[in-house]
Amino acid sequence: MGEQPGLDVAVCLARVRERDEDAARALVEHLYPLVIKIVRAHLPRRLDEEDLAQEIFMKVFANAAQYRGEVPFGHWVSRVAVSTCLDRLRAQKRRPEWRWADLSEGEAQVLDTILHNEQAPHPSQAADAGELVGKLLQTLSPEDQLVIRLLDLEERSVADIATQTGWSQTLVKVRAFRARRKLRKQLEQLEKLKRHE
Amino acid sequence: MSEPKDNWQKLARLARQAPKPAKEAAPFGFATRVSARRAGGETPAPSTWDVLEAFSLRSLAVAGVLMVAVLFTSYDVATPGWTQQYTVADATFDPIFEE
Repeated sequence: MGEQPGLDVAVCLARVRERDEDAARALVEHLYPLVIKIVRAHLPRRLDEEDLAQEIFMKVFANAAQYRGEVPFGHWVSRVAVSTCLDRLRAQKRRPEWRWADLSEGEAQVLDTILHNEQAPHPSQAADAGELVGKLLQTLSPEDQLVIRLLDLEERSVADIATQTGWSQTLVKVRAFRARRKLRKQLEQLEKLKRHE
Repeated sequence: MSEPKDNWQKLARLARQAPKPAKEAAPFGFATRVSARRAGGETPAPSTWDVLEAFSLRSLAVAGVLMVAVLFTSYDVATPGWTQQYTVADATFDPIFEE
């Protein structure tokens, strides 16, 4: 994960620990695609993605001495990135409550299709579905958001999620089960609200 | 692949088909900004859990020191059974009877 040819991460890390700024810049350039992907997937509302990415890199450098090479460096950086995003999500105490009127036209159409059409929705609605899922996930706790994103949207395995988060596989499954139940309730709630609006 | 019956799974399946952003290089100057912050000795802000952990560890250390101090200063009060030597005379001592 994130290990690209062209940069010897071990050598680069050793130079970073010796305060070599060129090596630090090279490492940032190398890891940026991995970090920004995680940031965008878990970005809390009203937070600048570059600020969060910078914070993750600062944590990576501050803790670089603790990296022992037991897992690939990309995995270790992913874990730092995920935990930083979770901390930021936890700091956002208020979670939105969506009504039908809060949905865009496209999102409302997607939801209508999902709830009432027996046929599969058209792939052209995928972008709106992505937006709608993003809104629904904001109503969940940070841990639930994380597990649903990784399991249902990125289709990662339970074992992979357990490695990345440090949770047990049972905990991942329990969280996913509860989070999906909450999301189904959210969809039912939106449907009820639509009838009343 | 069969169409899932569950509404959430249907929605998630559709959302997975949304176009993924292309792999992106760092914006111009990003690496330099991070490197400059690091060179300036800036450290990342500790998370709530880090702060709680630090406080918990400190509290544990303070509680340990206090416990040792209390044991040291009040050893006799805390452990009378270990320090007092009872004799048969002590056990049968009755001040009312003595009078």
